[in-house]
Amino acid sequence: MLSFALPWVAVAGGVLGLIPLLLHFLVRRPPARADLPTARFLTPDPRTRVALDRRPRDLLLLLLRVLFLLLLGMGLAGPRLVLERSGTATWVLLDTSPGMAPVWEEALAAAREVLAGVEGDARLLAPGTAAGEIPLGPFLDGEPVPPPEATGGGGYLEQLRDLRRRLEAEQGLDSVEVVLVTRPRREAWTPGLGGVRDRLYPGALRVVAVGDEVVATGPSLGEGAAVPSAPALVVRPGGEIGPYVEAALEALGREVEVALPGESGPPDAPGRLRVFPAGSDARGALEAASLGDTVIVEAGHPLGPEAPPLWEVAGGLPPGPGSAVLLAEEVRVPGAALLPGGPVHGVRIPLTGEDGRPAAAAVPSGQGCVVVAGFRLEGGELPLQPGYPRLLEALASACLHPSRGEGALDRGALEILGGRGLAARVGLEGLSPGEGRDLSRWFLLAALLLAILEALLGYRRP
Amino acid sequence: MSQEPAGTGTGWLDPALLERLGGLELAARLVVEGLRGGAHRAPFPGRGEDFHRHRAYQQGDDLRYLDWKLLARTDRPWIREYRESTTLRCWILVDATLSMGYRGSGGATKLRTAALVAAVLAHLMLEGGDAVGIAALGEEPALLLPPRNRVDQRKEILRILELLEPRGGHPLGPALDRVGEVLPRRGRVVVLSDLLEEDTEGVLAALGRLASRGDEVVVIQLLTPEERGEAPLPPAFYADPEHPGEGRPATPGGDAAFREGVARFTRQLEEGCRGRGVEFVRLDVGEDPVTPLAEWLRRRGPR
Repeated sequence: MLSFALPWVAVAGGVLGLIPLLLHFLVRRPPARADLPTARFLTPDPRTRVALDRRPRDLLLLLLRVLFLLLLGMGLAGPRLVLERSGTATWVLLDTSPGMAPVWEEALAAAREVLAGVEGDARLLAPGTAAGEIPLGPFLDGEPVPPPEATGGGGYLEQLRDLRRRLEAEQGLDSVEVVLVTRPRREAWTPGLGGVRDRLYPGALRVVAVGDEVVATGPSLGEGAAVPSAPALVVRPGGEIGPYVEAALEALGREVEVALPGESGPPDAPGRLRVFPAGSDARGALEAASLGDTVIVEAGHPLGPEAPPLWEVAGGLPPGPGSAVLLAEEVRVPGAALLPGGPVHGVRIPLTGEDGRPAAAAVPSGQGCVVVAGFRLEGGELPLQPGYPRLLEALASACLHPSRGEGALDRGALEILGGRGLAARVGLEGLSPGEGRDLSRWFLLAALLLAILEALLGYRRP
Repeated sequence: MSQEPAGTGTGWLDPALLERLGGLELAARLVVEGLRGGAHRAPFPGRGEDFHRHRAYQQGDDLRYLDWKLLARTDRPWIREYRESTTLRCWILVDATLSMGYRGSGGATKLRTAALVAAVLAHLMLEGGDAVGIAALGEEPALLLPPRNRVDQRKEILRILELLEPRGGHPLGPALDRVGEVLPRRGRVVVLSDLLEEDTEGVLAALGRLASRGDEVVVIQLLTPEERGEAPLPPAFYADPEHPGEGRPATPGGDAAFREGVARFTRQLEEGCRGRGVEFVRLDVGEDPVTPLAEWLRRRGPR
């Protein structure tokens, strides 16, 4: 099958190719004149004049010109030869994130019901399982499938990415309909994730919801989310952190207390948010965290001489200004200056840099949480970015909000998925513009050869 | 690219190639040598070839004409006298009007072919002791070179023939009369033309006037196969280059009447010439004009 990246260019070439055809019929050229000294003996033939006007010998030139324009248009339209595929397949994607464990059997039943009604090729994908795919025959016969491991499956976006990679590697399919069997969760989501989803997988998804809706605890990162009630304590040292953190937290609805250096704030108010910028005395931060506080420590500042090294360089972080941290995949907050250091393995990562490296680490500690930010909280243009408050909120909620790696399919995501209204059938060639074999240079080469041939023949013909 | 002209026993290169290699002179020389190599009797016999009588040697006679055999037998000097005791004056009239610039599929124009034939004939006639001159017909008749038999006459003739270009459309009849005016006594006139004249009767009358007073008149008509309708031509608007405003759309390839009309015209010319004592020769200007020329010269023989 021949597909075009710019179909309108191919159409334009076809339209232009009609122009020589129209000119051939509309333009009347005078007949060729030739000398013949014995012309007076010729029998005048009026029919010859009409025949000469039509110049049937020019049909070859006409054909060459039309073909040249047509091939030129097709060559510039980005033609690609896509392998012929046939048939339609239904792929059922089982959500294997940890939240599915309580509703696993219900999910399996739903998957069996979907597969039973499928005509044509069908597959059952379970990213969190060892094989990644469950054989259909035994599955439909009722063979049990153990629930996935706690960390299996990856997040929603990762699952879509893996699905697309699998589709790209497959042959012989015209289109694939994906049925996502999952448990709806109401958690924070950002509207921009829809564009990310389209980029990762432009096809349509049909979602089959199983189980009850899960309402996650903790503050939401979405617009108009619930206002946290825990007060925030900002320890202001010798000027490293200005009023931005304080202002942002206040905007998020937190009560902000400012502590002078050396002050640790009221000891009898656990559950607060404490921010320790670099240079401040964060001794006692671990103790505060164990009592239930969430402590945000700007990287580079040790949490006391006996504090365990929370930062262990694992590949390092790119130093210098100009980097950005990712609040979510679609939200980039430029201007953050990443400082050297990195989290220990195993901690939760509430934020990452543009390159995917951790930008902050969160470690539950007792009743609370210690969050180490690997960047300056008020560095550069960071405080002026629209996402700045949400960045601080992500740090403040790091231990409460699941890490980005445990992708949850929330209600917002389902609404985005269900409301897209995309066509149920999406050709594999629509997955990536780069699919198929590029034929543009061959079309353009053929057009060039035709142009040369037309020029040679046109020169030789009177 | 050699070809064997029929009946000559010689072979020579394509005249067009010869011309490209060495011009008209080389082509004419090789044609003449080819003819000579066939041991032809001179087609244009001149002095020393047409014996008339013996007479007694007189003081001052040219010793080249002394009959040494008769001297040996009779012990007396005798001079061989020929029929034309003086040099025959010959005019070669080359039609250089626009119609002679037509080029058929053979590659050479009729004028170029006529020039080659004129060069060959001039060479042969000069070798035979004749005085040869060149006249041309274009916009006006022009007597370009008076008949002479000087050493450099052949070179002059070749130079003039090389420079001929087709132009104009002056009628042939008055040109023939002009040549007749400057030909004081019986001589020879060779006309190289396509004879595509509107006033055909005028041409025949002028030829007849020359022949009637004793001139040897040879008319060589040059036409290409395309002009005769014997070679295919595509549909087009055809016109005589000497009358460009009188063209007509035609398809010569399928026009049998065209072929017949040209043939009839040529027959009428030939009959008119023969009836007036004029030798008429048809020369096809095709890829090989030399073969028919050689054939004609072979048939002609001495006169």
